[in-house]
Amino acid sequence: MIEVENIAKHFKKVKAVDGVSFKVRDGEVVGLLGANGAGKTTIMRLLGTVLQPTQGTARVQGYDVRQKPNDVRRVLGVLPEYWGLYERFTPREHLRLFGAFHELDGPALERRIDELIVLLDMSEYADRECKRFSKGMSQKVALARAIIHDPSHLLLDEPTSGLDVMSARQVRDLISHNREQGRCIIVSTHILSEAERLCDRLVLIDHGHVVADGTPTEICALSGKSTVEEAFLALVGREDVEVIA
Amino acid sequence: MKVVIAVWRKEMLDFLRDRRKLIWALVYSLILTPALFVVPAGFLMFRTTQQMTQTLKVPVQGIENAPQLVEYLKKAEIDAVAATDAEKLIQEKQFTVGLIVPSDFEKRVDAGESLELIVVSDESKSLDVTASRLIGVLESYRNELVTVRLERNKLPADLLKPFTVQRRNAATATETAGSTLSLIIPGLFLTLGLTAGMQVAVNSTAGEKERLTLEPVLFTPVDRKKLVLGKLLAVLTSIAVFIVNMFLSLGLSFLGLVFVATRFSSDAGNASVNAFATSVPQAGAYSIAPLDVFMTILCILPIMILGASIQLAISTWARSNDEAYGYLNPLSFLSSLPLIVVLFIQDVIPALWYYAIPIFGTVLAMRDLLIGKSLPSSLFVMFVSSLVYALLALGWAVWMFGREEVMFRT
Repeated sequence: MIEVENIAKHFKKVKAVDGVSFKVRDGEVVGLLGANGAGKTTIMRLLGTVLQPTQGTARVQGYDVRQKPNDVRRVLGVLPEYWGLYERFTPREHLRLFGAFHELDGPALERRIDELIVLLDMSEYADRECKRFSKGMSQKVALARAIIHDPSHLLLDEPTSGLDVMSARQVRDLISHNREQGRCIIVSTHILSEAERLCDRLVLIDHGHVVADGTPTEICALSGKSTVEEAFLALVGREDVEVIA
Repeated sequence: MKVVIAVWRKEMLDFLRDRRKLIWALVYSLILTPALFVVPAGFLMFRTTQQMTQTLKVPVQGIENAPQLVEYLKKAEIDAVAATDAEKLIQEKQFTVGLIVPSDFEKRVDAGESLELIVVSDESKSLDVTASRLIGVLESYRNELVTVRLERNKLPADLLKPFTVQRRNAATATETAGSTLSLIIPGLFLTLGLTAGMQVAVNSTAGEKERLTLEPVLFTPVDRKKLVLGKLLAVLTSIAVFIVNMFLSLGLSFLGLVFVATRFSSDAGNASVNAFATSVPQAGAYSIAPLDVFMTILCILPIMILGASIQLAISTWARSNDEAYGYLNPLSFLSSLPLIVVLFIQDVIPALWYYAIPIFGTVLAMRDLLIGKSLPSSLFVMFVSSLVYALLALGWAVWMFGREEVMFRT
């Protein structure tokens, strides 16, 4: 379970996140929805303990992000917005390196790597340097890297952004598969259709605040609109949200 | 420790797989650098030897006044050619050196007069040695004439030499050779220790930020201290490899110079070439205890850690590779300080606290070891103080890695 309690992050005078609270249960996929710059990535970084909250806190599987950051990172798998692959490394080497970062090694790690290569259909390029990989290939490597240690909680920042139809489908299937296994998943996106399709619940963020939290149906009811898209626009009062059907 | 090794291995692989840079580094150090030393030196030695040994033609103005001198010059492979205006021939570049002989030169010399011979040369040709060769032969001719005059007057041959001057070296062979080595080794290796790992330091910090590869690592439970230690180990490895490579490069250059020098040294009369060729076996008189060699190498280690940590801290602050190199350039300038310091330490009688001055203390300690005169107390002060400086710099690098405003400063 992930519990966020009145968390805030201020960068000098800029309030990137300002008093956000929400909960995500195990086996649930929650979409953090907001326009570019709404504060989604900052929330992800706060939960991933790479940023310190200015106020409030959050707990991941009961571990406080302020007090037990190492324990939080142990149970979290994070797919950052920018995948950041080492272009002179192969996917297998990436997985080995990040496995070592999670203190995994030996046959157990090799088995896990083989398993992920099959699961994400990466066999063809598992031993090729990542230099000329397509977005889809890179995204899969980054995803495999995020779950190498079989984490119970996942933070996925824009997981299907820029992917072709086939790759996006594979990523969605992977997320569903992980939900079925009881993992607690937060997906940050600015694509409304994606959020509606993937998530059990949506948390709408605008200017660092939560403007709505509920299932797509609840959010439509709250705003008196018939679609999530209309509801979102009504709730944030803006129209600069990318809408991809 | 496994994590530190994993980070180190990653940095090393990343560096070694940049094949173009690697090949260039090898070509540069093992081929280009020795070639840059050997080719010009070889050309200079070849030219000098040629000018000193081949028959030299010299235009002589007033040749009819000195037939005995002409004969003497001929024995020294110098052909005198009659000329009406020797200076003009030099100006027109037809010859490199000429001679003006006053009228009735030999008659007046026989009569005991003191006359003036004028050697005309083109001083704009600074590498030309033909004038020196001619002057040398003229001086030995003059000495012969002095001997003849003394004999004619029944005077002793050493009349004009009331005393001779001899020089005796009060220093031991180890001190003398060690003093020369202390001009080269501390400066060179400390400068390398402070700067050689720059590429790996920048690539593993600012480079990672620029390529956005650092954030995924920060989401893992890896301790920041271990992360920095792994990177530090990679920088230290690259410095060690660079120093070994530099040794090979200098070794090849030296062997090339020895080859060129011995190739020309058999030819008579080439003092500078002979001096270089004979100085090589003389270096055999130098001896240094194995423990002192080990300690000299050990002196570099704290400086390597200091340089690597400063580079890591500064590069971590930078947003990109370019910015990091911009910040580190002044450090390159400062790191040449040991090269300057070594020029002044020969006259220094150091107090114990001098050994605690960063870099300067290390240079002093290395000098002491190389001349075989080091004291345990000074070595102790140097090692403890430079380790403290190195650990402070490492602490700074770790602190930088822990600051979110630095890590996300892109």
